Amino acid sequence: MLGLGVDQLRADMNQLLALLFHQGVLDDHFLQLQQLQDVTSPNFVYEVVNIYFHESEKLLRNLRVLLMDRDFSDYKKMGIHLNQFMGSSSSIGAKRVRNVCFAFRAVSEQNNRAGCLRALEVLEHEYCYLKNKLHELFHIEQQRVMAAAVRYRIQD
Amino acid sequence: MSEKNDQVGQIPTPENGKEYQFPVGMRVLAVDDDIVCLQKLAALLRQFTVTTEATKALKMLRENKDNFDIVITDVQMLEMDGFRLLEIISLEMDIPVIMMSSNDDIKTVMKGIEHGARDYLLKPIRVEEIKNIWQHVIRKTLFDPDKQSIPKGAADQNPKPAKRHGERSKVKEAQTNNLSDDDSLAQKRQRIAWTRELRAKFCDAVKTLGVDKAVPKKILELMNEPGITRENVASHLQKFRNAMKKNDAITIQQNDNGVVSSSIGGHLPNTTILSFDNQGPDSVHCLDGFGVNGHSNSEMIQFSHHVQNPETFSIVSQKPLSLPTNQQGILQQRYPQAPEIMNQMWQTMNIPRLGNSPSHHYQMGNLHQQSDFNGLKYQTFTSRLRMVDDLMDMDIYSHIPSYSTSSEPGPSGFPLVGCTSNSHSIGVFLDAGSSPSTMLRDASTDFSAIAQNDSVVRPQNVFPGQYEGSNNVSCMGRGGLDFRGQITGVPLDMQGSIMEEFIGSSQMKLVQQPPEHLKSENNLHFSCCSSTDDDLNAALNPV
Repeated sequence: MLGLGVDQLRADMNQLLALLFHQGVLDDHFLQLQQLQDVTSPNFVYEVVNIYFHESEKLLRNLRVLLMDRDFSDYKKMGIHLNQFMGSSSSIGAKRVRNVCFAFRAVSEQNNRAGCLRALEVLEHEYCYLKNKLHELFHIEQQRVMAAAVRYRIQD
Repeated sequence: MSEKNDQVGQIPTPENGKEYQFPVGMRVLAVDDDIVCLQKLAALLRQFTVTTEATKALKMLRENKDNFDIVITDVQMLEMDGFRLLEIISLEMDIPVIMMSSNDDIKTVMKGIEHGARDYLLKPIRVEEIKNIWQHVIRKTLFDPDKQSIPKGAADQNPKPAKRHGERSKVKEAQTNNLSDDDSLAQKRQRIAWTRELRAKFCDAVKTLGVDKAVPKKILELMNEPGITRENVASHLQKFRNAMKKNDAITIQQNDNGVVSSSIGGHLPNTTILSFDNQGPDSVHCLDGFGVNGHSNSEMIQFSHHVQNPETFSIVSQKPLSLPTNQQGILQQRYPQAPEIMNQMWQTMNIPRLGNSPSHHYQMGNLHQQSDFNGLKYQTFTSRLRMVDDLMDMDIYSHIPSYSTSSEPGPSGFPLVGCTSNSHSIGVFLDAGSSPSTMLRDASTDFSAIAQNDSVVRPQNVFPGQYEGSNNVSCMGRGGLDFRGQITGVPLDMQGSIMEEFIGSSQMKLVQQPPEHLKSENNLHFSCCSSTDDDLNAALNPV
C-alpha cells in the first residue's frame, strides 16, 4: 500500500517538474542544483531555494520601495538590484523570473518609470508563481520521503 | 550586507616527495553579494571561502596572500565595484582573479580584461566552467619561475577570457590586437608564427631524423628556413615532446596493460601531432605529411609509449619536481572530488582540439575515451539513484531536455505567458495597452538571442588557444638550450597522476555513496520538514 503511495508521489513530482520545464519556469540549472545534492549536503536544493526566496523577497521589497517613491530617479540602483536578482534566479534555474528581470532592466535603463512599475508587477507575479510551484514540489518530495522511510522500516 | 556564509575551507596538505607532484587543493576565495550564487559556487568548488563583502575579502587576502590560489568575484556589487577589487588584488597580491556577472556587455568584458582579469564568466555559472578555473592557477605558476624572460604583458595575454554569447571572436580579436604590439616589443625572444608550412617542415624534419634523435640544430638545418632561430625550433620541439608525453599519460591510463608495443620506426603517432597543433587545418597538414595509414588508434598510442626514452623523459621518472619553495604554498590544489569533474578534466586536458580533427583514427580513440568516462560518470549516477530514492529520477532526465524551451501558456490569464523571448516582455512594458501581441522589435534581437542562450544547454567549452598559450610561454621561457632538462612537463605529467587519483577516488565514491546516502537522506529529510502553509500564505499576499 505504502509502496504504491511512494510511486504515485514520485510520479506526481516528475509530472510537476516536467510541467515547470515545459512552461519555461525552470531550466537546466535547476537540475544542476539537484545534482549538487548528495551525501555531504542532502538538503542542498531546499536550502539554496529558501535562501533564494529570502533574498528575492528582500529585493522585491526594495524595488517596490524605490518605485513607490514619487521622487524616484535612482535607476542605477535599481539596475544593481535587478542584476543581482537576475544572477540568483539564473543560478537556480528560474528561467522565467530571470527573463522578466532582464526585460525589467532594459526598461529601467531607459528611465521609464511607468514601464518599470508594470515590470515590477509582472516580476512579482512570476515570482509568486515560481514560489508556489517550488513549495508544491518540496511538499510532494517531503511526503514521498516520509512514505519511503516508513516502507524501509517495515522491511527491516 | 552582512555576511552569512563565511566558511573557511580546509587547508590542504602538500604531498611532497611524490614523483608526479600536482597541487592537490585549490583554495578559492569567492566574493559576491548574491548569496544564492555563492551557495551554488561553494557546492561546485567544495573547498572554498566565501564572503559577501569585498572589504572582508581584501582583509583576508592581505593577511596572508598564500592562503588563496584564486579569487572569483562578481562585477557588480553594492559595496565595492568588482573592477576595483580586481585591480587591488592584481596589484597587491598577484593572485589570479576571475570575474563573473550576469551582464555580458562587451564593454564590461573588455574592462575586465584591461583590469587584468584572468577570465570572465557569465552567470549562471556552469559547472563545466568552474571546473576549469584551476588552469589559471597553473598558468600563473608556470610563468613565475621565468619572470625575467616573460614579462607580465605576455603572461596576461595568454589566458584569453571566454565569452559565451557569440561575441567571443570579437573579444579575442580586440584583445590580441591590443596586446600583440606590446608582446613583440616586450619579449626578448622573437616570437615567430608557426605557420602551416613551417609546421609541416618541422614535422618532416623530425620524422626524418627520428623522434629520439631530433635535435634543434639538425631540425633547423633540415628545415632550411631563414627566418627562424635555433631557439624557436627548440621551444617548438619542446612543446612537441610535451604533447607526446601528454599522450603517453593518457594512454597509461587508458591501456590496462600499458605495455610498450613494437615501434613504428621514425613515425610519429598522429595523436601527438593533432593534439600538439591546436589549429585544425595545420594538424591535418601534418597528418598528411606523415602518411600514416591504416593504423588503428591503439597501435598508434602504443607506439607513443616507445618514444618515451630515458633521455627525454628522465626528468619525469627520476627527479621529483623541484619547484621553488615559495611556490609550493601556492601550488596546492585540490580538485573537487566528483567523477563528473574528472570526466570534464579528462576531456579538456587531453583532447584540446578534437572536435576539429578530421582524422577518424584519432576520433575513434577519442570516442573510446569519452565513452569510458561518460560510462563512469553515468554509472556513478545510476547506481546512486537506483539504490536510493533520491529527489531526482532517471525519468526526469530523459524527459526534461525536451522541455527546455516553452512555447505554451503558463498560468492562465497571465500576459507574459510562456515568454522566452525578451522582445515580448519589453513590448508589454512599454505599451500602454499592455497586450502581449504588441512587440517592439528594436534591440530585441540581442535580447532574445541572449535569453535563448540561457535556456539551451551549451556545449563544453575547451580553450585550445589557452592550452597552446600555456605551452608556448613555458617553452619560450626555458632558454631553449637545455629543454630536456627542464620541468616543462609540469601540467602534463601531473595530468597523468590526476587521472590516476581521480579514477581511484571516483571508484571509491561509487562504493561508499549508496549505503550512506540511503540512511542519511531519510533521517535528514525528516528534520527538514517545515510547514509550507505559512509560506504559501505569505506568497499569496502582496509582497
